[in-house]
Amino acid sequence: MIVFKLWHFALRLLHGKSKRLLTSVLGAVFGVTLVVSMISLYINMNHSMDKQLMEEYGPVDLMVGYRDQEKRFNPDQIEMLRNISGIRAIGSTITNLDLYYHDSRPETARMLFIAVDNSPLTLSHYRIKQPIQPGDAVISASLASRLGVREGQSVKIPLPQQESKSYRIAQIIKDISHEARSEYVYLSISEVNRIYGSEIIANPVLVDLMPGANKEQIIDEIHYLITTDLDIEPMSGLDKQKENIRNLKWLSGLFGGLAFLTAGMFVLSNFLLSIRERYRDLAMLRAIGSSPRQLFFLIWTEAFLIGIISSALGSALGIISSSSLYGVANSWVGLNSYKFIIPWRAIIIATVAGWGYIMTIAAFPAWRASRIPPVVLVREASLNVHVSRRRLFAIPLWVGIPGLLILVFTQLSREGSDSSAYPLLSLTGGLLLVFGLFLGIGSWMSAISRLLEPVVKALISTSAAVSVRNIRSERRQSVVTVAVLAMAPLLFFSISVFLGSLQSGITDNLKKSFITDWRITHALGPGSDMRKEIGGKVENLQAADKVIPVSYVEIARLKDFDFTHADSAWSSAGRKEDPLYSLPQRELFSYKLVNLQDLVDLGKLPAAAGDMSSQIYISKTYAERLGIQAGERLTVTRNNRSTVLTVAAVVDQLPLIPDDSPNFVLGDWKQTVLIQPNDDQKGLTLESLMVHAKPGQSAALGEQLKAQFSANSFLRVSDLNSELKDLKRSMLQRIVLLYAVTAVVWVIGLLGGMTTLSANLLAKKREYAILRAISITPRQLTLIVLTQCILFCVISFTFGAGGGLMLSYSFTSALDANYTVNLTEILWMVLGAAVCFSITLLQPWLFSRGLGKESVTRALVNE
Amino acid sequence: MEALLEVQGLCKTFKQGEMTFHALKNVNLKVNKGEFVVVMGPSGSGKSTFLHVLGGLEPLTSGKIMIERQEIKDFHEEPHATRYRREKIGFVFQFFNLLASLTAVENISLPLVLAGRSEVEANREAACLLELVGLRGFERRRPAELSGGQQQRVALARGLVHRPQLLLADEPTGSLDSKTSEDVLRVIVQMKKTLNQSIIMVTHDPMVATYGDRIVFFRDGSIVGEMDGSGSEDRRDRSLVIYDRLHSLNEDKTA
Repeated sequence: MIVFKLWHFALRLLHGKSKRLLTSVLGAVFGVTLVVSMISLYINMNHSMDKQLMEEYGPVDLMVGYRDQEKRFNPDQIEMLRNISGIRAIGSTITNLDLYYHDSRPETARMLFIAVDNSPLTLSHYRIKQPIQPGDAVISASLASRLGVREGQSVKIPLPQQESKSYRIAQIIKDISHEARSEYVYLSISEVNRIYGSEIIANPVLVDLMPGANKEQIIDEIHYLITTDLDIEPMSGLDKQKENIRNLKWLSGLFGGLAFLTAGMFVLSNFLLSIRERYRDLAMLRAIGSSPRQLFFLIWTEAFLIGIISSALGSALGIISSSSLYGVANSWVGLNSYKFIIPWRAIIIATVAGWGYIMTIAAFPAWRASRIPPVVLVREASLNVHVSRRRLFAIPLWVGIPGLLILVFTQLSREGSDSSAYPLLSLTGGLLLVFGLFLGIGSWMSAISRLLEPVVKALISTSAAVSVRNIRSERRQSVVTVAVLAMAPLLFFSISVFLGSLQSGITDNLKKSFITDWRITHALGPGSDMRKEIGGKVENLQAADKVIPVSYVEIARLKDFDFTHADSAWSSAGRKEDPLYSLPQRELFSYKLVNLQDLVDLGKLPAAAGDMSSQIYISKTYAERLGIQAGERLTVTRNNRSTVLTVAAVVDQLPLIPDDSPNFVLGDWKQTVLIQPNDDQKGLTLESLMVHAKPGQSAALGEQLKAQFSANSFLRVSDLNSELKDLKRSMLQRIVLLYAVTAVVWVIGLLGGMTTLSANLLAKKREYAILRAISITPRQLTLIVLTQCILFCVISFTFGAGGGLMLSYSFTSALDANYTVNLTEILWMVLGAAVCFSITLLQPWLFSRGLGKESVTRALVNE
Repeated sequence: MEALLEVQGLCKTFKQGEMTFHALKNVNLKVNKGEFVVVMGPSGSGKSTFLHVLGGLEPLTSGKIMIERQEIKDFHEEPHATRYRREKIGFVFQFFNLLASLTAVENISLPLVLAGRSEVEANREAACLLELVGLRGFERRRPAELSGGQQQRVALARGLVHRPQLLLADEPTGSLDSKTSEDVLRVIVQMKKTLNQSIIMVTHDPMVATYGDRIVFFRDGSIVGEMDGSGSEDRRDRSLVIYDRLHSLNEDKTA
């Protein structure tokens, strides 16, 4: 009951400290805002991604089939596929019906026939609402328009090698692409088999994987168990989107976490200051009959009230800020913006959690308040905390953190950067390092302040050196001050350096991919009908000198390869003696195919002797991993065809291939392993068309290309400069979004910094009064106070920037990107931090001026 | 007269590293109900420590404290210390120590609220006490709106609102001018009479000491003398006698 009676009392006390209440609420509001907006943003973006992925790809993770062949699945193969672990569902389809029933009539030329098994997976993949009944058909909008038919009406549809048949149109779906064949007709498999009197089971089969299943492993298993003839489309666009969202999860989790931590530190420092300010009041309450429990609940009641106000306000602001950031964030990861959903359940949980968090954080200051001995009121005495217990508590941390770090780094070196666990391990390692760094602030700070003492004496004055000693003597308070002040530079540096590295990596890759002046790509990616749309129009352009088609083939395999070269453990660790040790069995790699001679002519590849069609170029990293030398002959197999290829050269960096694509080789388009003998390059999927201009005609070529393809919105003509500009623009969006988050953390950090600096100065108020009494001038006092605060800022900045660099390194490692630190950017960041910290110094400066104006007697009495 | 407080063989030592400081050495004292005892002595004589030990603010090293012939055991440890201060002891400090955000009545009612009494009841009691200390009409004033003497009177009312058996006053006039001090002391004496309140007050000021029934002199942690506070009607004369006694004690020490 007494706890409830304290409500009124706590309210009155809060009312009496309205400025402190305001800063407490502000800090907590910002913290909750950030957490709620991160959650809300994440939920909405996740929802957008799910929706968009469903629209673009459906739920299909793999498409397994015989590409451009008349083969089809048999029931045993379907059953085998169904039983592979990691596969959640499969759906049978028959696409390209005209592959089995050739038809060259003009009315079917633009039509694509697809038969579906009416399984939920197939229906959702093709966005068909209801199972297709016999006699029903689903058609695309362009076909509906040509046939002049609407949903529910019947129309005669021409079928390959068949007379036109009448079907009721069950649904008209949106056109998928601007391809040559964009008139889609969907029928049920049973209907197709009835018409043709055949029993085609499926080709291809759609596969939905279980969450977390290893796609590469499953592809490998399908090839191994069923047949290596199978073409498997890994839906890499989907993977890219999923990776985007995974990165987003990390980032929002990290920002949310950091915001949570900063807000927590802020609330903690604010409550500690609040207790420091009311030390005598609290001691008096003890003296007049308050029990420790009552004091604890008094402070906790304050936290309860602050928590309620802050959580409610923070949640509201969080929803507002996330809804306004939603569009920017979606465009950042390339998602469409759907209607913003307010995730009430998550927000309520976050609000309650935020409130609970504030209560939890405030428990420590409340506990400290409850331990204030009443004798403090009549005698100057410091709060006696059980130091031994604290040290005992610290032991597991001191042993645990380095132990965990050793464990993580050992695992990291064992796993290697190809492992799926590498990003998580790398991130954990970075976070542990930063945690360890912050945990050791007390010890580091003492060492740094000892180093700074003579510098301060020499540069400022001997009296200013008092400030350095103050930092050491109020160790606990100083640790909180540094930790709070360091959070903002930590976040600022980690984000800036991480984005800088990311941008630099993308820029490098872009530069590598531009081996010519201009490039043409298709908005729908390599799988599109780009070749048909470009036709032979580029070669005829006046300013074009050389046209290099770049083709892309998913996967090929090394055959009869001696893996003892590739496994360093085999020879170095004496594994060959171990009968149970198994060497890797398969090596899959991806190709990019070009006319190699063109690249040699452009000086992008070293020349090689002999027939180019039987040569490949390998990057140094990949060659080292497999233990391959230049001149070595490799047997490569794909779709049951094998060929022997010679490694023409091992190069530091393969043109056209990004740094983060380790399993790529560059081959010649005439390789017989990839295309049938006597076939031509047109059988290959075109990824891009690189166009080299005649000398001095680059700009003219650009204009000619743009004029030629301006009507086709799917084709993109770009040069390196325009790509770099686009990259900068998209990076700017990310930077704006991330800096908005960082700015909020800065605000919390600044408020927290002001509060903790004030607490620190308040703890020394009596000493300052004594210094005044022994004739230190107000100016000297200001100098001491400001020196102390500047030292805090310098130490905090060192910790924040150091931690930020560590964290950004772990992010870039996790994403397997190159770590780049741009010194100019760092300089700007230092300047920015200096400006922000200068704002933090405002309050201490005013405080010191106030101290200087106050009479010595009053200062001593008012302590 | 009936004894309220009996202190027997009270010792208090402070340890700082290897050093041991004996603040109180075998102190014996008896305070009767309704008696106003003044404790005097030079700085460092142990008078404040004695008051803190009596108030349960400091643990005693050895000895016995009895209130109404009942020994108060473990009174400096929780939860006994809180109960002891809540029920038996009232405090008045040199620096009034009022909560700035609360009104006069709220400050006075605090010990009752903390003891679990209803706010209405506590405020009613507080208002009575406020009237007793001569501050009727000042109920809603905050400390900042009161003079030093008025603040100390509010503090006095707060020390008495829960009807403690013993009021401990540590230099209650230490931060007041002589006129205001006189007013506050008159109120204390009046309260003593009205409530039959036992009071122990520490002071340096012989003039202030003249208000006590008995004066106890401390030196080096021990009681070295006592004198009756009453005597000459002229307060000035009495203060001179007290001053002489105090002076002689100091001289004894230096000799």
